[in-house]
Amino acid sequence: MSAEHDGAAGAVEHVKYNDAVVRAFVLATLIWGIVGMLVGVIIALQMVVPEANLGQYLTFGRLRPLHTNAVIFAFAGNAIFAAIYHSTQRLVKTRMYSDGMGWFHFWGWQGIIVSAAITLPMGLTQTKEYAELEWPIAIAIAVVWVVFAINFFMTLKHRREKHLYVAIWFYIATIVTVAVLHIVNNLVLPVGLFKSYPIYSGVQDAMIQWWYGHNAVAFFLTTPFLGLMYYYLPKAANRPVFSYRLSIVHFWSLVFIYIWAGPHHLHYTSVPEWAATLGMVFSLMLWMPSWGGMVNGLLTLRGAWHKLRTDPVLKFFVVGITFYGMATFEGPMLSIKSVNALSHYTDWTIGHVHAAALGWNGFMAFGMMYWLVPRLWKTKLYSMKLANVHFWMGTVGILVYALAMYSSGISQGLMWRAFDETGRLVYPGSEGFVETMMAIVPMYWLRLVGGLLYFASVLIGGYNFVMTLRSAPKELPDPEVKVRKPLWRQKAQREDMSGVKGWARHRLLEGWPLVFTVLTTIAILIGSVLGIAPLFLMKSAIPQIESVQPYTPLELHGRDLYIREGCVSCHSQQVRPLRAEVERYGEYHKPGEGVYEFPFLWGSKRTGPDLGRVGGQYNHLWHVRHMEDPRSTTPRSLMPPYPWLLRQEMNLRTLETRLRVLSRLGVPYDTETIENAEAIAREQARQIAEEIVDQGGPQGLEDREIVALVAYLQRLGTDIAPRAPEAPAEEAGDDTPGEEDSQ
Amino acid sequence: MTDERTSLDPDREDIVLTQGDTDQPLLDHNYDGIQEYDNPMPAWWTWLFVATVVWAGAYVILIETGFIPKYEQSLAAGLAEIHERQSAAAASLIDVDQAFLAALSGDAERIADGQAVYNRVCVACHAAGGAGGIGAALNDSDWIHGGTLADIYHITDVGVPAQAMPAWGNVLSQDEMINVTLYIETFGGVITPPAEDAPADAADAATEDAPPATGDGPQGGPEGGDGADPQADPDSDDAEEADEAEPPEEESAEG
Repeated sequence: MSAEHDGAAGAVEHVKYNDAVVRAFVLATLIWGIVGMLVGVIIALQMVVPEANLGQYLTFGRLRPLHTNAVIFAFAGNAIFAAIYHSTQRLVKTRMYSDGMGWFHFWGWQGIIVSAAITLPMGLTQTKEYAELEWPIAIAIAVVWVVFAINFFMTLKHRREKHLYVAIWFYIATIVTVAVLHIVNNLVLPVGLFKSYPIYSGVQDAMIQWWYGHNAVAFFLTTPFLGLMYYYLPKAANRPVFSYRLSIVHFWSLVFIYIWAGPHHLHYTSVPEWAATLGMVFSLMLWMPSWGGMVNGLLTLRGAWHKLRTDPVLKFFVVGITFYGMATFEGPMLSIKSVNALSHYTDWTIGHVHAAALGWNGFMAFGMMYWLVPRLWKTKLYSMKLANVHFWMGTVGILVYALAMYSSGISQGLMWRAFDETGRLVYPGSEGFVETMMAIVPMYWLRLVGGLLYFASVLIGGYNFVMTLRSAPKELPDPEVKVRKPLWRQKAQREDMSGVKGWARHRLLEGWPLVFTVLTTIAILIGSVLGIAPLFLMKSAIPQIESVQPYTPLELHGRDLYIREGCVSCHSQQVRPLRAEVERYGEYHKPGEGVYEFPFLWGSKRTGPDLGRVGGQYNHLWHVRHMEDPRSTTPRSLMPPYPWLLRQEMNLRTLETRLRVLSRLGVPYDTETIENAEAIAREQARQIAEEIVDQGGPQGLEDREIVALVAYLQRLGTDIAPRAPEAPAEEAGDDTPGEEDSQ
Repeated sequence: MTDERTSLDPDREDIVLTQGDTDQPLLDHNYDGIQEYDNPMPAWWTWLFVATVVWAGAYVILIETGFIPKYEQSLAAGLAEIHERQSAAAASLIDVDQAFLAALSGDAERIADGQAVYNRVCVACHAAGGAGGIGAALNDSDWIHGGTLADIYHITDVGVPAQAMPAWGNVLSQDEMINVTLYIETFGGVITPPAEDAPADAADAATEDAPPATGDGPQGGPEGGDGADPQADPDSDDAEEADEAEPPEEESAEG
C-alpha cells in the first residue's frame, strides 16, 4: 500500500488490493467443492448399495460427516473467504490489513480441512453434526478464525470509506457469531489427544448443539452469502440495490431472530416443549427477514432481466436466490410442529438442505466465481457455452435431487405413521421398517442421478475455470486504485447528523464499525441466552429419574464405538411422543434419561430404525450376526456390515481416564469403579461372550469390540423399564421426583 | 472515486439510475460503484412480517393457556383412538386353539402361504427348515415353550421377550400366523397333545408384553366390534397388541 502522505485534504492515495490470497481461496473453493461433492455421490451410492461401504474407514457413518464438513466448511467456507477478502477491500477502499494473516488464514484453513479428511474416516469424532472435529482441530479452527477476525476488523479500522455497506454488515455478523457458536459448542474435556466428552449432556447438549447447528446454517451459509450477494449481484447486473431501508430492516431482524430458532430441530424430543415452541414461533417470524434478502436481490435485477439471456453470472445468481427463497419458506414450514412430526428423521430434511446447499450456496458461489475468475486472472472466460452447460446441468441436478428426496421423505414419513383399521401399524417391526425403505429405494437411485448431474456440472465448471486460468498472463500484479484521502478522518470534518431523521439515522451507525459490531453481538446474544439459559438454571426442566444409572465401563466403551462408527448418522435414539412411534418403538423418551449421555446421540435421520429402546429386543447373538452381516438377520437391509468389530480387540487403555473425565463432569462413578474400570469391563465382557456361546454363537469374543457394542445396545432404553405400564404416569409430568440435581 | 472495474472490463456501461418515477437513489451511497435506492419496503413484505409476529404471540398464548394441545395431550388422544380400534378388532378375532389348528393341518394352500411368511420373517433366526440358529430349532421334538400347534401359534403371537423372540402378533395377521404354524408343522417336530388339552383361555393378567401405551388394554370395551365370525369366540383375548394371553405351560416371560 503506497500512499502519498502530504496531509492535505483530498490528496490521492494509491491503494493496492491483495488479490493473490483471493485467488488462492477461489481455487480452494473449486478443489474442495469437487472433493466434497464426490464424497456426497459416494455416500448416496452407499445408501442403496451396501457393498459400496469399502471397509472400516470408508463406511457411510464415517464418510457422511466428511461430506458435510467438506461441503460446508471447505467448499462454502473458502467461497465466503474469497468473497470477503475480495469485496471488503473494495468496499472500504483499503488493502486487507495483513498479508501474513491472510495467508495464515488460508493455509490454516486448508490444514484444518486436510486434518478433517484424515481424522473423520479414522472414526475420531465428537458426533455433533457439523461440529464433529475433535478438540485439537476445534482449537485450530478457533485460532484461525480469530486471526481472520483481526485481519478483517483491522481492515475496517483503516478503511477509507466512512460508511459500511450492507455486505460488510453481514460479514460482521458472520465473523462474530460463528466464533461464539463454535467456542460454546466445543467446550469439552479431553481424554487424550483424540477423544473428548462435551461438558453438557442429554437435553442440554442437544440444545447447545442445535443452537449451534441451526446457526451454523444461519451464520456460515446464509449471512455471508447474503453479503456476497449484496456485492456481486449489483456489480454483475450493473444496477443499484433495490431498497436500502429493506437492507436495514431485514439485516437486523434476521440477525436477531435467527439465533432463537435452533430448537425446531428438537421438536417432540425430550427437550421441554416450551423451548420447542419458542423455536417454532421464531422460525415463523424469520420468514420475512429471510425473504428480505431475496426481495432485495431479485428486485435489484429490475431493468436487467434481459441480461439473463447472456450472462451466466446472473443466471446462477437468480436461480441461487430463488432456491434461497424456497428454502427459507420451507424452513419455517418444517418448523411447525405438526409438519415436523412428519418430516423429521426423513429425507424431506435431506431434500431441504440440499435445495439450499446446492441451489443457494452452490450457485451463489459459482456465480461469484464466474464473475471473479476472469477479473482476478485478468483474462476472458474460456467458454461461455460450457458455463451455460454447467448452469443447466446443475439446475436439473438440484431439481431431480430435491424432488426425489421430497417424495421419498413424505412417502416414508406417511408409511411410518400409517395405521390400519384394526389399529395396527401397517408397517410394523423391523420387517415393516425394511418395507418402508424398499418403497423409497427408487427415489434413492434418482437422488444419485441428481447428485451425479450436479457433480458433473461442477466438473465442467472446473474444466472451464482451469482452461480460463491457462490464458492468464504470467504476472498478476495487485490491482491498484487511486483513492482520495478521506476527509472524514479529520476531526473538523465529522459529519453532522443532527438534522437527519428516519432511516437515514442508521447511516450514523454505519460509520462506527465498533459500535455496529457490538450491537450485532448483543443481538445474537439475547436469543442465545434467553433461549437456552432456563435449561441450565431451572431444575424442573430436566426432572431426575431415579432408575437412570450411568453406563457400566463396558457399555461406555460400546457407546464410544457407536460414536466411532458414526451409527448416529442413520439411527436416532429418541422416541417421540407420537402414537405411531410409541406403538413402533415403545415409551417415548424423557428428559431425565439423557443425564449421562455425553454427548447426546439422538440423531437427526432414520435411515435405519430408532435404537433408543432397542435394549432387550433381540438376543446377543442376533446383534453379533447382524453387525457381521446385516442381511443375514434382516433380509433386504441396507445397513453396511461391520465385520471388523468381531475381529478387533477392545482397546480399554483409556477406559479409566474416560470414566475419570466423566465423573468430573458429574457422572456418579465411584472411585472403585473408576480404578477397576478395565477389570469390571472385562468381567462383563466375559459374561456376555459366554451368553453368546450359549445362544449358539462363536467362541472367543470376550476381548472383541463387538461385545462392548452389544453391551451398550442391550442397555439402550432399558433404564426406565419401557414395558412397565406405570411408566407414563410416573415420569411424564412435571411433578416428578426431581429434587436432586440434573447437573 | 476511481473504479477499478473499468481497467478489468473496459466495455462496461456505467450504472444507469433511471428506473421509474418513484425510485430515488441515495446519492451519497456509492460503494465501489454500487448504489442504493431509497425505496420503501414492499407493503406485502411488511404486513406478512407483522402477521407472523402477531401469530407467534397468539400461538404462545394459546398453547400456554391450553387451547392448543401439548405433546402429552395429543399423544393420549391419538393412542386412545388407536386402542379403540384395536379393541374393536380384537373382538372380531377368532379363537385359535389346538382343535382349530389340527383341523387345518395339511392344507396345502395355507402351508404355501405359511412358507412365504416363514421365509420373510422367521428364516433369519430359525433357519431354513427350522434348523435353528439365533433362534431355537423348530424341527425336532425338543421344545422350550411347548410343541403343540397351539403352543407354536401362541408363542408366534406373543413372543418371548426374555429371549428376544418378537411378538409377531404385532406384525402378522391372524391368518399369517395360522399359516406359518401349519408350515412349521411340516418340519416334523410338532407334538400332538396327549389328550383334549386345549389351552385354557382364562384371561389371567400376565401383562408383561402389554405395550407401554397408556390406557387399558383391548379388553376395555369390546363393544363396537364388527359382527363376530362364525367360529369367533368373543371372549378370546388373543388380540395382537395387548393380549395378556394364557401362558398355560410355562411362565413364558419375565422382565
